[in-house]
Amino acid sequence: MCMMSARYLIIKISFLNKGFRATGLIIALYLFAFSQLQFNGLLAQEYLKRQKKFADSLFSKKDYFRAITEYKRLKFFDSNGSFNFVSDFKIALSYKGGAKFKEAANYFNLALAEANNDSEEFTANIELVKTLIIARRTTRALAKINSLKKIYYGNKRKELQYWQGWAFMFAEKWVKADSVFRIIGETKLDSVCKNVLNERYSLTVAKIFSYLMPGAGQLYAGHPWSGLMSFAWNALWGYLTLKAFFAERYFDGIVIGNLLWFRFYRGNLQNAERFARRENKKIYNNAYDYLQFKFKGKKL
Amino acid sequence: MKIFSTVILTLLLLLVNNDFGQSKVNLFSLQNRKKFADYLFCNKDYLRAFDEYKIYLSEVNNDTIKFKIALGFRKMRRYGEALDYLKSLFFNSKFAIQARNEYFKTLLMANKINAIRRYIKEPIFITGDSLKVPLKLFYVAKMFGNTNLPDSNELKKIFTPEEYSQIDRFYWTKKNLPLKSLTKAGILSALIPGLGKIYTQNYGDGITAFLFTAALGTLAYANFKARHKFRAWLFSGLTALFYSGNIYGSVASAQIFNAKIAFDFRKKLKLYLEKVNYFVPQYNFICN
Amino acid sequence: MMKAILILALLLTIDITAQTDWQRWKASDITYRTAPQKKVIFMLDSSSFGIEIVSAFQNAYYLLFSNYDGDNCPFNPTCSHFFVQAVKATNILQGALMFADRFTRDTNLFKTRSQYPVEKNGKLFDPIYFYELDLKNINLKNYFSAWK
Repeated sequence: MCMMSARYLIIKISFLNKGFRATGLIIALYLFAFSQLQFNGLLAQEYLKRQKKFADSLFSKKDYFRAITEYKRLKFFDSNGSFNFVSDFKIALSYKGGAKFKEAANYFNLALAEANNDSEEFTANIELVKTLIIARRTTRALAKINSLKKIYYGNKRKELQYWQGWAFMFAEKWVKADSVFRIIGETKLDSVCKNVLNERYSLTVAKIFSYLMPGAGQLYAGHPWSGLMSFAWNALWGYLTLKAFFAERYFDGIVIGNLLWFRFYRGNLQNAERFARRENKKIYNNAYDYLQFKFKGKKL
Repeated sequence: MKIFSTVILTLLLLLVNNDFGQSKVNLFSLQNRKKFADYLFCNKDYLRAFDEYKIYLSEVNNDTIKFKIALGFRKMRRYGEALDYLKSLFFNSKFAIQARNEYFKTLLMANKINAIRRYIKEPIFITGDSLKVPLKLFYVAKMFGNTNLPDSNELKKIFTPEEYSQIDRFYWTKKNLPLKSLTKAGILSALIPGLGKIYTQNYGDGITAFLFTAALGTLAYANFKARHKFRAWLFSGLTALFYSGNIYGSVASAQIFNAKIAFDFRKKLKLYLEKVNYFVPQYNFICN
Repeated sequence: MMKAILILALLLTIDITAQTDWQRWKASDITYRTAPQKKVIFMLDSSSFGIEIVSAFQNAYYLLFSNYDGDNCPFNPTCSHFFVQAVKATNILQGALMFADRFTRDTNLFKTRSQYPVEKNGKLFDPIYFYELDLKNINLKNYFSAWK
């Protein structure tokens, strides 16, 4: 086809004045080449756009596995790479939708390397951070946020701080999360953190209680029956140990004290800490439920 | 004016031309599907590649693709499907020999030792050149099993001298595996508590068992002497329990010892097989 | 140039993601919650009379004793679990022998790490199926993968 049109051009041009022929030829050839590029580009975009639309429709139907196939196809046939960022970004989101966070993070990283402008890069970065948080790789997320905070200012920086607060919440560092949300004026999230801080049990207090009085830490953490049993066992073995020592049966005293009393005393301390942890976990999970289902605002 | 009108006319013509050419681009044409699938296959994204290949195969028969699908299934450890695809290439295909080689390799990878023994006797495998690799794998499979080993001279005929030097080493290792006898372990522990465990090289356990049983026995003896009847019988019972428990444990320990040694041998053999690609020559058409 | 290197490095890591797709998967609900801590559930296993008695003893042991004396067992499963599982898998006599052997190994102060694979939480993996004297049950593939 192209050959035919080129021949047609030359025939056309030969009708022209001889003086104009050379310049005319050059102009025509130039235009020909230019148009070829232009149309190629435009029309190429057309079928790739169609492909993107198809992939997007699968994505919005939450058919993520097939969506990834179609985005991969888009990327494969897009020879000049103008859809690389979009496809990698969407592949990452698809993996995230399937709760495959490791792969999602990998593809967000790929998208970052393919980003065409600053705003695309920022979006990919934020999505990467969100994925890391939800996968509870909070150390990585916080390190990433800290390095990004050195580059971005203004609103973008504020958004980074917002996600930093979320990362702290998911790392169970509620004091830090609270202070971050207070600084950027997120009152709702701030009050969530405050609530958790008010409600949660202190592991140290629970342990100290149980150090001083076996069972007291369990009582503090809301397990009175267990506390009572711990107290009873410790009282019994303590009594038997002391009785043996007072009766100068030192061997018996050492055996009972070592093998039983000490064992139950240690168990008492472990239980106090374990119950405090368990109760705290419930409190944290309530907060996470609130964030997921009731909180209205930007979420993971 | 004349130039401009000509140029515009030309451009219009070009546009028509271009449009005509471009509307032909179809990402889902068979050729494009194959291209895309090849790319996916090389990126180990097998399931997606197979989806494309299967559509391609529904229109065109292509043995290379079938072969690739089989190898992909094997990579995903879906040995059954891999075997099915390989079987379909046994006859009337340019991969007849390769498919047979890969078939045996897959059987060995799937630890289907008995199947290897069965298939080697089938007439399709008893033909000259195509038997070479299957026969090698058949003899290797014998070393994985617990049955009698073949004669060492037989191996010499089948393997190349280079392979033979390695295989021979495995052969003699297998023949002289330092296995422990279960009966011996039990009897030793019955004679002296813990001795069986020492025999199976669990020294700490052996010494502990001896001390533990001895302590319980002493307690029982002391209580009989002091006429504490209840305690005496209690400790006697415990002594008996731990004494027989130790015999039982020694036998179990010998069995575990043997299992570990056999496992170790099989692992080493498998590593060697992977190194030589199960004696199957490498292909360069799968992925560049 | 840097970009090219970065992409190349990333492409090498993509290999891992391919294996995720070796099985078809579907959209999955994401939850912000963490999994709750495992709780010991007390249940009477009444599959047979012998097991019912063992199970009753086990529950009483947990409720009255084991819950209060701390985490002392270096093994997984713990000695009492080992006993119950052993009785369930075999019979009361063989279970008792297996338990006696396990208890002796527990008192061994020099448990070498080469003897048992170590789990993530630091416990020594020592399953019952190793001691049933049934060669078929000694599945070393799982055992060694836990080891490494």
